[in-house]
Amino acid sequence: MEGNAASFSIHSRFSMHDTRYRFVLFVFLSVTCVSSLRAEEIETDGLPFDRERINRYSLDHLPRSISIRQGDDVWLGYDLPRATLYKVWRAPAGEAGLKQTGFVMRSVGNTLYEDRSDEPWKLRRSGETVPLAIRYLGCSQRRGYFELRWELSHDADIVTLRERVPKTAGNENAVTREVQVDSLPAGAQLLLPLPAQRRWNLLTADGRPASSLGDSQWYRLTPR
Amino acid sequence: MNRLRIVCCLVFSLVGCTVGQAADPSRLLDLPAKAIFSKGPNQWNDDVLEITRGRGAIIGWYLQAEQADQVTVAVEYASTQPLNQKYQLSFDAMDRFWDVEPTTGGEWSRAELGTFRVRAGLPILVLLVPPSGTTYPQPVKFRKLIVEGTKPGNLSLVTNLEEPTVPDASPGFGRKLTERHPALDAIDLRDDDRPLRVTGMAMRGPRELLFTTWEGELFSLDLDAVSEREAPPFRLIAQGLSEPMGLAISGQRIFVTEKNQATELIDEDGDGRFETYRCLSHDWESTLDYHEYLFGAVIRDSKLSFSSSVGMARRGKDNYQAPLRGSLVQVDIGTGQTEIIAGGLRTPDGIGLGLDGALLVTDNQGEWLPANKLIHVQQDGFYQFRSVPPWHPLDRPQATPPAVWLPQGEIAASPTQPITLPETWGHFAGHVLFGDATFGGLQRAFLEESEGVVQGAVFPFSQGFQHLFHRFALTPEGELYAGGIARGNDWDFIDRVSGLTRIRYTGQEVFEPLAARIRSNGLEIEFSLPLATGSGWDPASYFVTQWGYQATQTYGGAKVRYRQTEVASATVSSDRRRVFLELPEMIEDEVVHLRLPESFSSESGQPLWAGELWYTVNRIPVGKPGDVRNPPRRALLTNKPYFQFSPGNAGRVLYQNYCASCHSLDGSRLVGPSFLNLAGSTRKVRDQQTGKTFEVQADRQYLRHSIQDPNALLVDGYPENLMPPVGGILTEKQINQLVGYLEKLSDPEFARIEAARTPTVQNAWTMSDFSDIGERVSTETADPAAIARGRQAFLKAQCLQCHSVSGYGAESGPDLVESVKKFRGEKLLRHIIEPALEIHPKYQTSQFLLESGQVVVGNVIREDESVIQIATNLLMPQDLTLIDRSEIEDRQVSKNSAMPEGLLNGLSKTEILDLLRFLEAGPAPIVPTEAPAVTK
Repeated sequence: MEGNAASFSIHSRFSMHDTRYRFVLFVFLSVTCVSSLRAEEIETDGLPFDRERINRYSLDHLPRSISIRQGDDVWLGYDLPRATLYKVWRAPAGEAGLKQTGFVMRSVGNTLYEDRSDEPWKLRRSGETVPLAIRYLGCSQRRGYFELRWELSHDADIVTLRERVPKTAGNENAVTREVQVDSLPAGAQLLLPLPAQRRWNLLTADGRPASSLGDSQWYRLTPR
Repeated sequence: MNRLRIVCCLVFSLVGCTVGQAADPSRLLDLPAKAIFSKGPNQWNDDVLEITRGRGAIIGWYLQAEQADQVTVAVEYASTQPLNQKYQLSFDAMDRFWDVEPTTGGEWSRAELGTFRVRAGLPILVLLVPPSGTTYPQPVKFRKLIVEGTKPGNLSLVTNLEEPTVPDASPGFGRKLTERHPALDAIDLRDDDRPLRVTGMAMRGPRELLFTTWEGELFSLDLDAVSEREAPPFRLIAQGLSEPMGLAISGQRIFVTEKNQATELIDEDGDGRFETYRCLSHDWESTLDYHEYLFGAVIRDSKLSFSSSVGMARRGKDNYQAPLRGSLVQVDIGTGQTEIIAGGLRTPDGIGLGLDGALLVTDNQGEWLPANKLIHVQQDGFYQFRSVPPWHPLDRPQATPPAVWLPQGEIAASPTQPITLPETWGHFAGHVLFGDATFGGLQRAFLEESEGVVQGAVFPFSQGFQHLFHRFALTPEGELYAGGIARGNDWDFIDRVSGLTRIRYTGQEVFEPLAARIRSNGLEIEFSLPLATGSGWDPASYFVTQWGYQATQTYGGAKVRYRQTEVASATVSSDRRRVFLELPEMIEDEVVHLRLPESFSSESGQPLWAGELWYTVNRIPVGKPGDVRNPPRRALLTNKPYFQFSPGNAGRVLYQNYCASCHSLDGSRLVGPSFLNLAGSTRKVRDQQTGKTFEVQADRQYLRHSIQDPNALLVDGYPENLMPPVGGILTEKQINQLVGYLEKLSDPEFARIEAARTPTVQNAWTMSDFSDIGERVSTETADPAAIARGRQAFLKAQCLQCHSVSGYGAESGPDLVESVKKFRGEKLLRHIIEPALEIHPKYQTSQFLLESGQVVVGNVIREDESVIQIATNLLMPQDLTLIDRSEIEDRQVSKNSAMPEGLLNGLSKTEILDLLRFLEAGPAPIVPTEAPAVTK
């Protein structure tokens, strides 16, 4: 399954003309503010890698994976050997989005996006595209976001891919990701795996659509 | 050639075997299935052996060749179905795999399984082993085995290889120790708020200990802030790790081996928190198998070394392993470049560095490992665990031997991290200690090199700790910090055995075998103190057995060619610290087990702390003989036997070695059901095949069946594969002995006595555990309930065995009514916990060196002008040894108390405090039985 038909913007659930929506939005924003404050406290005083926010146990069927919570209830699960977002899901209301059995976490809730394909990242150069070998380099917890890093290589060409997951969602509360690639060979572009190309908008820092990643620029990924 | 003759002679004479010689000098050994032995869950259908289940199942036979030869092994079999895995044929430790083809219509067929080189003289074990853990709906049937050589009359079947009857055992002498080594001082660094399941340990600087926990946390402990009176100031400094099982530090860099990767924790801004978890290496596949771990972590030459365990979840299905599992892995901490150093490991839950900087690894018995191991890692070594395709790249027919075999249940069960002791540990410097997650305590190994091959001996060292040790760290001063771990869902158990202990070596002199060194013609044993004058020369005072191991794909393994070995002579060195034992039957690739008698004592009269060792003979040096001399005229050659061989002892030892860690004798629940009142009871069991539950009588047949095939009828509530298939390890004789012991436990009095021998709760109490006790425990207002409980604790601790209370009880020790007039509270407890602190002259122990060389140690009960009566065992004060004064050469008073240490170890802290309240109350007279309550 390459993607879930349901849109996964929180905004799209409600009509703008619905008074119920306004009330829910008010409550939501209040909760978000409180949560954000709490998140800042954790960041200041707590230790990084709190499992309530980032879980490094195995996720679902993936031995090497990582789960990161964005906002209150949306989780992003990464397949680390593929350097790919495997799943986005929203936890059931008032419940955890991860259920633990030993070292395996099960994603629980409403699936917003899923990519179980083996589609790889590709390098395009001189009209030719080649798949890339992937090596996971690690993760960091920084003020406001988590960052994952990989090394992508083809022959002697080695590039570094970074993906940031902000701790809170962006505008309109849609799931937000940011990616950047370093050390791209001259004239080369990095192509997202096909399912991601179909289901995510790749935008430059100033909001312009892009079809591939150029060197050293940060791009934003938002759901289509 | 001489050696060959010796081996032939030795085998025929000592093994005492009967050899079934074919009447016709044929090149063939044509054996009906009934002529071979069968173990585990196999079925007989008349003369046909039927096998459906693999776990614990073995069929095999010993054969013998007068001359070396090339032989072919074949079977006659029938099978109606293809199998998804292969049978293993293990011929004198050489493996072939047999893909069992279905026979047409289930008819009989012949399959040739392989051609092998057979050694001359020695009984050779041939094993046919089904796939472990697999159950098939239809049996594979066997009716004949055929071994064909090239020389007429050369081959014979060995039918009754008699196992030795072992001497009676006691702690440290054939049985696991129960107490802490006298030269070790230990305190439990307990965090009452939560159990600390320690999984990795390392020092960051000289006085900061870091450790990881099973929960994925990293703690820091400032060792200068540790006190015996306050809870240790543990400081959480990182979290969110994934099943970390190893921790190593290089400078300020911290590395953790997690479930699936080696990770560096990086504090980029120096604020003490680790914002980045760098993946240093994950260059191997992983699955969701629960048993895939990365064990241990050490850094050598800027390379992080650790080992990976194999998966276990698919044992019953197809035994698949992800590629490269069971490897010793080395990663450059700068570049992350990863290298496989060795393969064939199974559950290598411990890694350390040896004296020579070599990597040491322990591994657990199980599939492909007939016993536990201490491995001195060789580059490209293959350590026996074979997978199924894809094969490990280092998998090869001939496995690399371990430095020391650690026989299951005897000296190890789940060995953990090995750590080499520093100079501050006196004569133990350079020795290797390791813990055990099941067997408990600390075991000690002494390694040496023989013609370039590392090998050595393992010794019982210490039990009596609160925790099961898993990881260790040494401070520059030589303090040993030991972390314990338990898994599962029993939080009482986890709380009891997990945690942190500080161990200090005090340097106290203790008499024990210190080292063993191989010579061309035997073993030289070094003792920590000189032997008593005249002792050690008698070969009969050494009980020596030897055996080999043969790895199979089923769980564990029995001793191969298990036999008693001749001690041709014993030569004591001039300083009486070394004894050379001439062992003419010693051969390579076998383990030599030495039992010493408890009657050995040191020059100063100290008894042996422990009296056994297991030496692994990988290489016998050429031209390096031990010193053999005739005993001096005054050497002790006594008529009194050194060892007792009472029949009931064997069952108890088997229980202690194989069952005690999971089955209690007092009704308390451990991992498995208690053995109390088991025999003869009605058990609710579940049939593994059908899943149906029903009741069975726990009769002799049921007990045997449960040992031989634990999964067949599972006690309701217990999962499959929880119990290891010990039936595949124990011999028929041993199973009968164990069943006999279980049956005797249905006698309540016998069970009570046996349970007292094996207390379930063992707390190595020290005074530091009672730091706030004060001058007295009792409050001003007497608490009758507490005093009543204390009286029970008094009886439970068996104080009356030696002490009297108001005239009732034994008189070997002081009357406690008198004692408590002088001692209360902390002082009273200290006299119980540390009995040697102050000994009343009346109760001092004396030791006598007799003209015969014999040493007698005990309490003088009576003496007159001609005879002295000695109680050598205060628990049996009526058994007195009489010494004629004219026979005494020397007499000394011992500094050791006759009262043993650790008498309170079977009690809880509350019981001990109640015991003190009972004594402080001026103990009321004790009568043998309770008077019946009278109601008006």
